[in-house]
Amino acid sequence: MQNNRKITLLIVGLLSMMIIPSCSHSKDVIEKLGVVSAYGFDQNEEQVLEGTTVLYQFNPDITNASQIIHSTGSTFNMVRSNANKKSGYKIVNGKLQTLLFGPTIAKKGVFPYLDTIERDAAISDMLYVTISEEPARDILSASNYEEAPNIGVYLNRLVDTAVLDEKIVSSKFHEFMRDYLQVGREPLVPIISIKQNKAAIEEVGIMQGDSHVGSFSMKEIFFVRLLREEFNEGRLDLELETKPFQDYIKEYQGDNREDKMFIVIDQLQNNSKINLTNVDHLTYEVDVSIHGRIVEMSQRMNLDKAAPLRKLEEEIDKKIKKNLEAVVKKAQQVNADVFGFGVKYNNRTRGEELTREQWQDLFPNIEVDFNVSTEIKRFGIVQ
Amino acid sequence: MPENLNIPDHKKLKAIYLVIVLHTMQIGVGIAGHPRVVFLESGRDSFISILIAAIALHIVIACIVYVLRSFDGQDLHGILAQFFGKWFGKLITFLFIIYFFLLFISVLVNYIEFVHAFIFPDMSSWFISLCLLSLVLYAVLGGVRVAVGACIVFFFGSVWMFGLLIEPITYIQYDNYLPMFEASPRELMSGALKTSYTIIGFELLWFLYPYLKDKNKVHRYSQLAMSLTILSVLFITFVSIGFYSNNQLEDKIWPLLSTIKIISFPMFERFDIVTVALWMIIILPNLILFCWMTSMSAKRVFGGKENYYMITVCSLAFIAHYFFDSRYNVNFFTNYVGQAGVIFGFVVPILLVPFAMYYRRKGAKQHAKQS
Amino acid sequence: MKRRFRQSSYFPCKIETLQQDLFTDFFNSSPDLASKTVNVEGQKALIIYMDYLVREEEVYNHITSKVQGAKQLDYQTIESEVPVTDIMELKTLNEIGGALIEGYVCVYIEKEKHCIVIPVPRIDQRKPAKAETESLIFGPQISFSDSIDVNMNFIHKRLDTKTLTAEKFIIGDKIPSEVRLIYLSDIANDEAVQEMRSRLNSLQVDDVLDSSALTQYVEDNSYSIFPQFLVTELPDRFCYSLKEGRVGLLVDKSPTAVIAPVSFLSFFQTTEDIYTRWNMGSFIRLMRLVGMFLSIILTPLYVAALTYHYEIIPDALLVSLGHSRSRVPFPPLLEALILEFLIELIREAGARLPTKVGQTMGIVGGIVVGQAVVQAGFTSNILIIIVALSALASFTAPSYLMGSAIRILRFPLIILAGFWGFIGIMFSFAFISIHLIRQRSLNFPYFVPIYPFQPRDFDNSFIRLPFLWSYKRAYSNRPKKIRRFKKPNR
Repeated sequence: MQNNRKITLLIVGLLSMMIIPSCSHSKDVIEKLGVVSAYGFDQNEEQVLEGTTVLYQFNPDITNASQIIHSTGSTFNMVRSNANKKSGYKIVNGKLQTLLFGPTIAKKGVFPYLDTIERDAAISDMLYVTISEEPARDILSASNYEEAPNIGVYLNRLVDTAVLDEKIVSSKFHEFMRDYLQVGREPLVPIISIKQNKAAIEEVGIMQGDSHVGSFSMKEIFFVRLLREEFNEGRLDLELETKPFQDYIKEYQGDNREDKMFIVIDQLQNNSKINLTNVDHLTYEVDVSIHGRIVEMSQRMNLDKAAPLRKLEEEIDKKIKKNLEAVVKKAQQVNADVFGFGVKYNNRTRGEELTREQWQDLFPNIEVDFNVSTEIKRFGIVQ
Repeated sequence: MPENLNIPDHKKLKAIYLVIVLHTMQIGVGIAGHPRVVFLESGRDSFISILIAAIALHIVIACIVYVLRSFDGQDLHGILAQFFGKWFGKLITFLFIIYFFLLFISVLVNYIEFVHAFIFPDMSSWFISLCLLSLVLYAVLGGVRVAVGACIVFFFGSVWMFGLLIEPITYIQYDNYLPMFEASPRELMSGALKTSYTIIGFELLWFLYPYLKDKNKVHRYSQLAMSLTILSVLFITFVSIGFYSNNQLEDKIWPLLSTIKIISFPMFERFDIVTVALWMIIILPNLILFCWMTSMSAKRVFGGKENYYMITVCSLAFIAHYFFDSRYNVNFFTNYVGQAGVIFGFVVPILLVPFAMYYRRKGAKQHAKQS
Repeated sequence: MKRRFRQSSYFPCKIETLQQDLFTDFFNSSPDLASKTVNVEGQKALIIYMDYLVREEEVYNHITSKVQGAKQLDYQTIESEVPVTDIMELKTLNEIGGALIEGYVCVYIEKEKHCIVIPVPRIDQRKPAKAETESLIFGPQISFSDSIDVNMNFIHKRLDTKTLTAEKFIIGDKIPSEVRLIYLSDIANDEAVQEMRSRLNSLQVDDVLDSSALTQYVEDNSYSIFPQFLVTELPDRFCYSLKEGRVGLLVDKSPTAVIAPVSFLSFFQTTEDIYTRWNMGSFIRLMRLVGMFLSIILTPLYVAALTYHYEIIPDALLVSLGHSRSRVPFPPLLEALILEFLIELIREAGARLPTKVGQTMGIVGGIVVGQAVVQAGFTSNILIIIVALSALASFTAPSYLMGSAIRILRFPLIILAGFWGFIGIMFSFAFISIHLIRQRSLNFPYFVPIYPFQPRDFDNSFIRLPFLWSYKRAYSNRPKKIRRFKKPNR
C-alpha cells in the first residue's frame, strides 16, 4: 500500500515534469491564422499554377471579413506558402470548403492538385469540388456574396443548397474521388459562372476521369440525377404538347389557345434500376418509376377522372424517356459514363476487372432502353 | 509441479466481465486499418474471410476453455509447466512474454501513428507514449480489478462511437459489393490470416481464468465476446466497402478513421479529430491488459513482485518505441507481430488440446484407482 | 501533586481542602467555580459547580435548598430528596473535575469516603435551523443541530427504534469528543460496520474538530481530490442512507453527519429526487450529471479548440470567435485561467462576506466585471459565457465538497488542454476514470454501479424509476435485506 502511494507520487511528479518541454510544440491559435475557405486554381501560358486564396479575416473594425491573395507556384502547397508571403497570418487549410478550378486546369485534369487534399488529414472530405468556364480568379473576385463571411463560404452554401434541393448531383470531395477512382462511373461537378458580379451555378460539368469534357444544363441534370440517385422531394418542369389532351382541356376553355402546356411536378420520388440485358451486345434496360404531385399546370383538365390522368401520365412518360435518351446520347458523345453503366457491366463480368480504357471503347456503343412509368399521386386541392 | 494460483474468493471477478473485457482487448488499433487490409487480400469477399477467421476463433476459444477446464484454476504458465516440465514450460511462457510485449509495443506505436497523422504531426512521440504508459502504470498497479474496471469503463465510454457510422451508411453504394464470390480460396485464406491481427487479444483468457468466479459460465461469455467482436469487424468492413469505391479503399491506410472524416456535428464541425483523441480510450484497455499479462507471466516465470515487472515493461516499451518512428517500420513490425499472433494465439491452443485430453484421461484413471 | 488527582484514597478530607484543591490545581483559579458550604446540625457539606455549565436556578431549587432543608446530612437523604436521576458516586479528584466540566454539581459531606455528583448540565443549543448549504425546495428542511443528543433525537424520530443501533466512541486524547456510529442492525452490512468500528478504534488523534475533519481522518485515500464519505447536514438524507444499508457517524458539537460507504454517483443525488415524482427526479438527476460533465469539459474544450483544433469550430462561430479573440493579448490558455480565477475569486469573496454585502459582490462581480472584462478586450465574450455556464453547472452538485472538487479539477484540465489539446483532455479523462475506479469508500467500490458493473442498481442511480420498479435497496451496499417492500401487484 505504502509502496503504491510512492509510485503514484512518482507518476504525478513525472507528469508535471513533462509540461515543461512540451511547451515548445507548435500552436495554431485561431487569431493568428489565415483560415482558408476557398482556393481557386488557374494555369497560365507557362504552365505555372496561379492560385487564388480566400481567407477569413478576423478584425472587428473591418466589415469585410474576407481577404483574397493571389500567388503562383507549381504545387498546391507551393501556392499556399507563396500566398503566405503576402500575409501576416499563418495560412492553414483546415476549414477549406470549396475548390474551384479554372477552365485551363479543368480541361487538362484536376487530379494532380487533389492529392494533398486526400493526403493531409487536416483537410475535410466534405469540401465541394467545382469548376468554372471563366478563370477562377475572376469568379472568386466577385464582390456580392450575400451575408456569408467570404466568397468561399458563399460558394459552399450555393452548392450545398442546390444539392439539398436535389437540383444537382453532389460533388463533395469524397464523392468526387469515389467516382473518379471507380471505373465505369464518372464524376459530375457544378460549373460556377458569374452573373452581375455574383457567382451562380448555371451548368453541371461532365468529367471524363478528372477532365472537363462537356456540360449538362440544369434541366438536363435532372434526368442524369434520375438515373444516378434517388429523389426524395425532387421537382420537375416539363413542357408537353397540348394535342393529346385536346378533349379534356375543352371542358374548361372551349377552344385550344396554346399548343404547348407546362407542368410542374414536385414531391417527386423515383426508383431507377439499370439492368444489363445483354452482356455481349451491351444492351441495357432501365426501369424508371416516378411518383409525385402536380403543383402547376398551365392548362387545366379534370384529373379526377381516370382517362385524363392516365393520358397525362403517359405523356409524361414519353417526355421523360425522350429526355433520358437525349442525356445518354450527350454523355456518349463526350464519352463520359456519368450514369454508372460501366459499373453494372463490371458487376456482371466475373473474374476480370474493367479498365478505364476498355470502357471508354465500349461506352459510346451501348444501347439503352428506357421503361418509364409515372404515377401522379396527388394534384393539389383542385381537380 | 508449479505452485498453484490461489486467488481468494473475494478478489475474484464476475465471469460476465469477460464479454466486455475480451471484446475491448480485441478491438484496438487493428480495426482502424482492417477493412483495407482484408480488402487488399480478398476484395469484395472480405466478409467471407472474416467469417472464416470467426469460425477459427470460436474453435480456438473452445479449445482454450477445454484446456483450462482440465486444470482447475491454472493459468497458461501452470498448464505449460505441467505438460512440459518446469524448465521447458518456462521457456515457452517466456516466448509468450516476448510476444505479448511486442503486441504491447505495436499497439503503442500504431496509436502514435494515428496522432501524428491526424492531429499533431509535430508532437514528440516519446511524449505521447509517456502519457499512455503513465496511464497504463496507474491502472495496472491497482491490480487486476482496476485493470478490468478500466476496460469496462472505457468500453462504455467508447462503444457509442459505432453510432457515428450511421452517417457513412447513407453514403453506401450497393454496387460496390458486387460481384460477390470472386475471390479464390487462397485469397480468402490470406484475408482470414490478415484478420487475425485485428482479433488478437483473446489470449487474455489464459490468464484471467483463475481470477473468475463462476467458471462454468466462462465458455458461454467468451464465445459471446468473440461474436461481438466479429460482428463489429463485419459491420465496419461492410460500411467501409460500401462507402468507398474499390480503388479508393485500397488507397486509404485507415479506412475507418477516414470514414469518420465526413461526420460533423453542430458544435464539432470535424469529428475525426475528436475521434482520434477518443481512440485513446479504445487502445488503453489493450495496453493495460497486455502489460498486466506480460508482467503476470514474468512473475510466474522469474518470481518476484509483479509491480516491478509492470514498471519494467513500461520502461522497456518507452525505450523500444523509438525504433518505430516511421510509417514503414510500424507497418513492417505490425505485420510480423500479426503473423506471430497466428501461431501464439491460434495454433498453440489447438496443440495443447491432445495434452489436455491425455491429462484428463489420466486423471480419471487415478480417480478410479483411488475409489 | 498530580498523583493526588488519581489516588482513590483522597477521601475523606476536609471540605476546605477539597475546595482549595479543585480551585487552585484543577481549575487554575477559575473565577467561575462556585461553591457553597452548608452547615446542618454541625455537619458540613460542600456544594460546588461551574456556574456557566449548570442550570443555576435548578441547582438552587432542587439541590441547595434540599441540602439545606435536610434534617440529617447523608447521601441517601440527598439522593432521595433530589429529583434527578443519574447521580454518581466519585472517589478521585480527577473524576470530580471531569464531572464538573460536563455540568455536574458535586456534593461532598465531610468525613464521607466519596462524594456524589448530580447532573444539571446547561445545554445552550441552537434551535434546529433551516439547512443552508444543502437547502431543499421540496421536503423537510431542517438541518442537524450541534448537539449529539438533539441529533440522535432527530434520527430516532425518523427511524425504526428497534433496530437502530448507536455505538459510542470517545475520540481525541486531548479534547475528547463523543462519536456515535449509527446503523440499522438488520440492514447494514456487517463488514461495513466492522470496518468503520475498527477505523474509529484505531484512530489516535488529539482532537476532532468537526465531523468533516473526522471524515478526513478515517477515509480511504487522503490523497484523492474526491470526497469518499458523504458529509450531510440533513437528517432526512442521513436516515434515508441508513435505510439503504449504509453506516452513519455523528460527532458531538458538529452540525453535520457522515455517511459511508458511498459511491461517486451518490454525491449527485438528493432526497429531493425521491420527494418529487420519479420523472422529475430522474430528469434533475441526469441534469446534474450532465452539468458536472459540462462544468469539467467546457472551458478545456474552448482552450483546446482555439489553441490547436480550429478545424472543429463551426463556420458560424469562427468569425465571431476570431473577431473577439483578435483583441485579446493573451493565449487562450492564459485567458481561460484568468477568467476562471476571477470567477473563483468572486465566489470566495461572496462566501466570506456577510450575506448582504455578498449579494452586492455577486452583482459587481458578475455584471460589472464581466462586462468590463470583455469591453477592455481582456477575454472573448464567448469565453465569458462558457466560464459562467461551467461555474453554474458546478454548483448543481448537491454536495458542497464534490462541487468544490469539480471546480478545482477544472484547472489542471484547462492547463492540459492548453498544452496538448484534445490529447490532453482525453488523457485527463482517462486518468480521472482510472482514479475513480481505484478509489474505495470504506473498502466498498467507489465507482459503482459502473464498475463493478451493477445494472440492477440503475433504478436508483443515474435516474430514479418509480417505486413500482424500484423496490429494492442498492445491491452495491450489500445490505442484509435487499428488498424494501414487496413488489406491488399492479
